[in-house]
Amino acid sequence: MLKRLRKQPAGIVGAAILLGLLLAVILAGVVAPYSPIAQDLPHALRPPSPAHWFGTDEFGRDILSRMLYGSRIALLIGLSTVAGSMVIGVLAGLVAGFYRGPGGEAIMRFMDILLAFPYLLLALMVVAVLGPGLYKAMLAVAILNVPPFARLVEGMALTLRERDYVEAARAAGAPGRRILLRHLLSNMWGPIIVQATLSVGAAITAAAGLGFLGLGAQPPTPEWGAMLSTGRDYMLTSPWVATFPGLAILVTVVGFNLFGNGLREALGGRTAAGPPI
Amino acid sequence: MARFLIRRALLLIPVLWGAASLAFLGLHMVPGGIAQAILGEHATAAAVAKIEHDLGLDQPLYVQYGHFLVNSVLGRFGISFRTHDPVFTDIAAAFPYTLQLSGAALLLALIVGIPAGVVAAVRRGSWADAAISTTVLVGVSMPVFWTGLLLIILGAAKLGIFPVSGAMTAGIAVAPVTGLPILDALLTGNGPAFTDIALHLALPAVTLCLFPLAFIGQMTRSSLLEVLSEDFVRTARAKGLSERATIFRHALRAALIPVVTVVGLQLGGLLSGAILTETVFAIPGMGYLTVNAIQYRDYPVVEGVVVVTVALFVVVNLAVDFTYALVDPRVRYA
Repeated sequence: MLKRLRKQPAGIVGAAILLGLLLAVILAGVVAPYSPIAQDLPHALRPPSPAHWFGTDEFGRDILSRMLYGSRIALLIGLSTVAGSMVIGVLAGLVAGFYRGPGGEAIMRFMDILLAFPYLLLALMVVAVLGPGLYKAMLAVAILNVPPFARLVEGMALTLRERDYVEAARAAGAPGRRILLRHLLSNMWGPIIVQATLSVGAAITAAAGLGFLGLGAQPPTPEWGAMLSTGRDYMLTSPWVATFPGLAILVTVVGFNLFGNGLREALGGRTAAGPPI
Repeated sequence: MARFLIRRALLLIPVLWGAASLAFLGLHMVPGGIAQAILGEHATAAAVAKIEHDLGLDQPLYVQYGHFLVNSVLGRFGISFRTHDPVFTDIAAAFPYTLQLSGAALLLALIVGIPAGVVAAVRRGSWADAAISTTVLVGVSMPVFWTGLLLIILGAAKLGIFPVSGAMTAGIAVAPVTGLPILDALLTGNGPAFTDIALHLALPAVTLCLFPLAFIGQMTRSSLLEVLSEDFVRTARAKGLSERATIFRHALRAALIPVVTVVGLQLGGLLSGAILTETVFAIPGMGYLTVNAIQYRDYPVVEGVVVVTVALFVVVNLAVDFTYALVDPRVRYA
């Protein structure tokens, strides 16, 4: 698959962006010129300059440093929420698609109910129940992403369970759990990974949206959405406060989308999920 | 066709019931209880008990659930803690703004997205195709709230043409006809009000349209490319039809069928995007109402908005299914 991915220029660009993000995450503590939360009120709302490449915010905090530290939060949100959704969604989809029956039917109808909520409304409802905060927003975003995984895996399990090699394993007396893990799941990883990659970008955007609404990460956490939210008040006088965090979200999401679509093409377009290119 | 529609409509009832029940149970699982959440951590037991009694929260859960289901069907969601108005009145006042914004965004997305998709497909591999594909990528990746802020800088601050926020200038009145302010201004021939509302609507609609535009453009492109290699298109070309007639009279008609599905899938995204767009531009729609309700812990409003929005969402999806079945008979017999 990696060989085929190398033939996808868009996928390579995506991989390069993600590598840059990873470097920012790892080196934030080393390369960030200032502390992300240290206030310097006399230098508040300064435009970009050699001392502060991306300018300063309303508390005189260095925006570049906050963005670099913010990359850690973005990646934490993206990867952990999607990992959680993937585990639950894959298990639910496998059970529903392989065993079927009333249990499987109940699982998929529950997924239908979750899908009946417009994307952000479900997250808002979870936040309404749990209250605002970064980890609560992450839980909300994780719940949003479960149904797409469950649907994808259920669909694949329904097809694969009728294949000859699964019949053969069954005839040979292999227990259901072994068939699930060894014969079904091992043939599903490609589309699942593509779905996961494309979901990371969406998860980062959704969490940033909650942060923007004041319902996600709380001050002074350098989360990109929350930074945009405070920058909104200074849009007309100090536009750099909101411009750079937004650009960081855009580039990161483009990176995940390009990489995910590159993976999809490398796999021969075996999954229909995700945004278009 | 009627049987198809009835079957699909009946399938919606359990989904609606499930979504409403989930909203009810979710909000009743608020840590410490709803009354405590409203009054705060330091509320006295007597104050909590009074609120619980006033709101009927001291009744058994199944009784509250029964009341909730009956009241939801009747559209009675209680009184807002914040505005002290019936929740339904608040929702009825906010809904036209969201409908107006989503409708304008979808219209823009269709008007721009379909021709862009056609150009990208017909000139596959050209610079136009590359430019459109890049725009699509940026369109789906741009956070809607950031797009809104950028448009405020460009359209409002730099150009000075568009208002920064709100749905219309204070003091402008429109006689209600349909409930949609822009349509009412047009129908009543109120030129100044129409211009004012259209100027207020322009930036939010452009903000909200980017995401569906990208999907519609991409789907039109890929669907048209597929159709262009079909036998009936080859036949149309072989009988001497011009390329323009072949594309617009034959290929595009067939290619637009999957676009209907994409439009349907975008409606949830539009409603989610509207929540953020309304917050950026301070438009008093459903999204603005929801975010305020959550911030003020106005649970009757949250419950009402969730039930009404989910109901609208599934009904609109039913309408999309119906349209799909209308344009593609295979769906009806599947």
